[in-house]
Amino acid sequence: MKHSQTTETDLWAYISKTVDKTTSKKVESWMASDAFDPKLFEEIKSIYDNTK
Amino acid sequence: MKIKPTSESNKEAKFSILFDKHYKKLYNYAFKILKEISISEELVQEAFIKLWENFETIKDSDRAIESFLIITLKNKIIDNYRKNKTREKHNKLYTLNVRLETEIDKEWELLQQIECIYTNLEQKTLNIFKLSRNEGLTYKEISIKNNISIKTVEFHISKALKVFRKGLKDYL
Repeated sequence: MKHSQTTETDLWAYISKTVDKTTSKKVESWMASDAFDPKLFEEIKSIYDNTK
Repeated sequence: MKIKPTSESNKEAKFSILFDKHYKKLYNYAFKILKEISISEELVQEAFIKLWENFETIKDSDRAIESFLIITLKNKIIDNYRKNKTREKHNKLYTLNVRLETEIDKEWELLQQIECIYTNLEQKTLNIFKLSRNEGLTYKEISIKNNISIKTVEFHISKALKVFRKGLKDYL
């Protein structure tokens, strides 16, 4: 699912700290924009935290 | 000199006078501390009941009777405070216990659900997801390790995330 060019997999890489620099910048730029979807971010973070 | 009513009716009459004389003062004292009409009335009544029960053993002087009533009422107020504190403590413990049980149950359900999702994921998707989640490998590292493209890795990660988001929608 695209979110202003940020995908779930971009977010997953960012949250799991396996992200490359380009994707990291893309995610951070998305987070600072109006397109930021906090619900999606929290969901992916929650999946990361709970699948430990 | 002790209070020595000559008969039961004398005792009642004497007690009635004492009741009228001291009730208001005692009630005001209790209410000032307790701020509750019914409990103030109840404790003052109990103080008078104790006076009635010990009527013959108390010195027949206003000072002694008033002192007896005040001390009894003070003790009743302290007992009441302790009972309330204990009740409050039990209520808090009960609430905490219920909340903990609910949290533990929910946590357990979540773990079960995650286990279920893992079991139902396609093997290849599961392997790739675990390499990312558990081994902390980047998409590029996974692609090299499995000899597949980064796009394929992303496809499987995305697939796993979709399943997790759907399966855990009540917990996220």
